[in-house]
Amino acid sequence: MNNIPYPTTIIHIAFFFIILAITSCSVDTECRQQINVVVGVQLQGDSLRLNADSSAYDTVSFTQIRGLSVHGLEHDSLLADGLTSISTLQLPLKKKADTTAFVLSLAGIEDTLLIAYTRELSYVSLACGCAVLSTIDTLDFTTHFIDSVELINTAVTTVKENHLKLYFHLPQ
Amino acid sequence: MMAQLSNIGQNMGQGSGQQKVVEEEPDTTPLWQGMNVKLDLGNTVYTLATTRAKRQQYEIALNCNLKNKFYPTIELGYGLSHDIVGGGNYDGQGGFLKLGVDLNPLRKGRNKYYALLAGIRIGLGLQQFSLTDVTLNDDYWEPGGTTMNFPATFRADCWGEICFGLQIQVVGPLTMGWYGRIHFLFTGSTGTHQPYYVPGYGGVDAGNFSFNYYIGYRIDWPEKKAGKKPDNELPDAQPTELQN
Repeated sequence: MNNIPYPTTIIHIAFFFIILAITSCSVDTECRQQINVVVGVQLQGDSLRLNADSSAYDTVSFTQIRGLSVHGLEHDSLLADGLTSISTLQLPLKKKADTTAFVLSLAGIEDTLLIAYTRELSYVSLACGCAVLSTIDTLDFTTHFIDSVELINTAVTTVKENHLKLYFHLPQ
Repeated sequence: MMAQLSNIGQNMGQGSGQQKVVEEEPDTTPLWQGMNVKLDLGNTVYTLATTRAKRQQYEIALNCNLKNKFYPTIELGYGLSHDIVGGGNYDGQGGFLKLGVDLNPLRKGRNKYYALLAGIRIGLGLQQFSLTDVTLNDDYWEPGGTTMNFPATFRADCWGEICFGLQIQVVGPLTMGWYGRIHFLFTGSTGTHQPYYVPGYGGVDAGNFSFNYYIGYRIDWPEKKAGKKPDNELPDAQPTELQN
């Protein structure tokens, strides 16, 4: 009997491997990765408010704003509808152009923000497809209610983070 | 020396009645115990059935039996993949080579027909693959997205395997066996775009376990001289124990 190495054990081990093989060979065809690439904009504003005691105007800073609507230039779909208070914006860049412009509206006044960038195609996976990563080169904007724009992070990747800090002053 | 050990053993046994000295017989098994050519049926049938032939893999293996203990192994094969996934289409095909060695941990009943095998492999897969209609989602500016193609790319991938298996005699020189493999891809995300499938390794996004079922043919080459069979070798006929 020594010449046969434990036939029942062989069957059990084989069965174990077959079960493992059947249960472990499924192909993952669903995209589970973050592939959205957007420019994160942090909003920071100030306004002048009349101080009742001193009859002078005080500067009040705030990081949330209500009534700001945003859409892409020559594009109707809204990125922010102005109905809720927001503290950040997520601006998607065009994947087939090197510049993207956005129109910001507040109390009937419009400003335009232009972002110029260089693009890099990044293959994520067959399930997810590709993402376009960008590096912000320059910023340009009108200054009706936008005071200034600070570039705090040039690399726009699939990681959600803030890239711009937008300072503005509310019209009185 | 062996007689001395035996005497010592007898003396110790008489003195205490508990301790024993086990004599280890010298391994007289000749180094060369033949070869085994194997054709993988399990993985081939499994991939054909589960992928509707969109993936195919064919593999042959050759192992040499050294002292019924060590089994240097070479495995050669061909694989192809035509996968259509949500993010694009993948077309790749190529060959693979695996080199490694198995160890038979069995002590009792060790012979050249039966083996419990545990071993390692290093694998190399070469393929040409292309990615077509890969999605580039741009929900805001271009709803519905757009697609792009990557040109055909030559790619070499390397991986390691830990494998466990069995090899038994069916009848005469025919053998069969199983292998369960755990593999680890060493070449991950190199290059601008990565393969979805690696010949010999399988799907990159799939689990890292695979299974082979082999039918083999044992080759006793070169032929042994008549009347010089090792002590622990079975006759070529079916062993009587198998019939019980």
